[in-house]
Amino acid sequence: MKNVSVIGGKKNLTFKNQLIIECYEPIPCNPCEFLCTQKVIQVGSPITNLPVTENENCSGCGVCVAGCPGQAIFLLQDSGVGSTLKVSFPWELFPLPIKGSTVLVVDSEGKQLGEGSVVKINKPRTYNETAVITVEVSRKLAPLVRGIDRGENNLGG
Amino acid sequence: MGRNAEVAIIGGGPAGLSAAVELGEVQSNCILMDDHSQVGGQLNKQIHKFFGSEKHSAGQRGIDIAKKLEERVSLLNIEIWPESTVLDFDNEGCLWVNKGDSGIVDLMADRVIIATGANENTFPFQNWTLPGIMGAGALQTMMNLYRVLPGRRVLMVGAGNVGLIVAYQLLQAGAEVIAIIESANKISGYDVHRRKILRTGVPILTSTSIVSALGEKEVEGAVISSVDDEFRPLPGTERQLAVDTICLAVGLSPLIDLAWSRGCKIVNEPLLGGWIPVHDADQQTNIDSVYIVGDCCSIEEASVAMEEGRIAGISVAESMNLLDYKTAMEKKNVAKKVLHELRSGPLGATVRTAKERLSKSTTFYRQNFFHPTRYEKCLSNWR
Repeated sequence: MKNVSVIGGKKNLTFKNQLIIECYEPIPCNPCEFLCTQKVIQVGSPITNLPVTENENCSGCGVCVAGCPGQAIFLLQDSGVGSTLKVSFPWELFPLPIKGSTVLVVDSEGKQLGEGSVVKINKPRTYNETAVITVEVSRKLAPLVRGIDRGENNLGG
Repeated sequence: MGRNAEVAIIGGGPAGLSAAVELGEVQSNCILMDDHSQVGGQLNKQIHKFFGSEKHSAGQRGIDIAKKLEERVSLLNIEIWPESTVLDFDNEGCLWVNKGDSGIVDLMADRVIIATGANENTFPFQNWTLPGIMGAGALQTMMNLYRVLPGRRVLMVGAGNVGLIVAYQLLQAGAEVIAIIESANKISGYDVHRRKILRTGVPILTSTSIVSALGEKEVEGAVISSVDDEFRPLPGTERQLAVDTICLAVGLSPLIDLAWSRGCKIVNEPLLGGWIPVHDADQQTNIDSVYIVGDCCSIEEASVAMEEGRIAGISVAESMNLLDYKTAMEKKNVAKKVLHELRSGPLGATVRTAKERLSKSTTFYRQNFFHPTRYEKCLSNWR
């Protein structure tokens, strides 16, 4: 939440890579802390702590996005130029969208926000069947994007 | 046919398998039985990644954990009886097993670990016997284990973790979830599961219950209605949904029949899922030779069940002098620490208090009048 408000008020992101973690319940869970090689995410002890992020060190690798068991981590990336941002989110549904296609992006309630284009689909073996999809969306919409619409004509269109 | 064993484990789910691993490692003569053809229990259907501590298989999918446990058990000297149902556990400690390949076997074991899991709850509504209405566990078995999709348009009743997870798995399998309804005024499942569902556009309707199923030979639709705080339907709020499957995810009840027939003391502990056998922190019931682990002694998660199984396995090994006191204590403490971690925080606090209360009553019943052998002795003296 804190991250979103920071982005909302400025034209560029404060940092090149910014994590949005929608983890608001004290569940005993901490894989995110250990997945991050840059020590960006801290949970600490007790294990029910909510994750805290230090975005300036984030390399934008996306490992935490794929590894969070709750699919609650999203990554915003800003190249500093152009009118778009990149948003990466976990995806465990079929079919996978096609790279380069235009898709409808949705917010956390599944509401359609607008169009975006799929720039990357990352699904290495280490992600254990979770794909990380990156879409390019306008700066205005990007902080709200949490996924893409599943509509029949949307995927792979 | 009669058989003897040092230890019998009833149920090959996460709890039973973990107990078997501990016992196999100390070379115990141990039989693990399960009514399915394949061990793994509910883990075989859990295709989602588990929460938990990074050190203890968090982030792994249930099916992968089942495979790993099964592999470990197969490397140890443990006899596995698949397709075996325990029909009775009599008060002399004999297990009547309908063993898949050889009919009825009466098995006498020095120690018995009950890991039978839980039963799905259901509730009646108009036309609730129509084909196409099923429990979430049944649906999950068909879908994830046997790869049969029972329907295309599904109404999920219940927005607890099971309802939310199974609804998501239905989407993964290619079905459409028309809605998830919940009679309470809030969603009891984890927030992350709720968000996962909402992002896909599936509506979750709170304060809503099912009134009736529609259809002649099978489900063709459902009527839902808003309910007030006491779950009474509000007239005029009925809505009709076109669905071909109604899935009930309205909670689980511990499967306690065997512990009950053996004579274990059963108490009502609503925070843990209803009527459950008393047991202490070592998972021992008030009957010294009987241990109970997993969902049949409190409705929790697979990761908790695994630690409980481990603790019971170590306790049994210790009680049979297969492990010395000090080693057993150390091993138990490791597992108990993990268990404490899994039940930490406000969400786990209720379970923790209930378990502590149970542990106290176990000591009470063990020392006092409800000890069955002592009770019988009293009876025979009296006669």
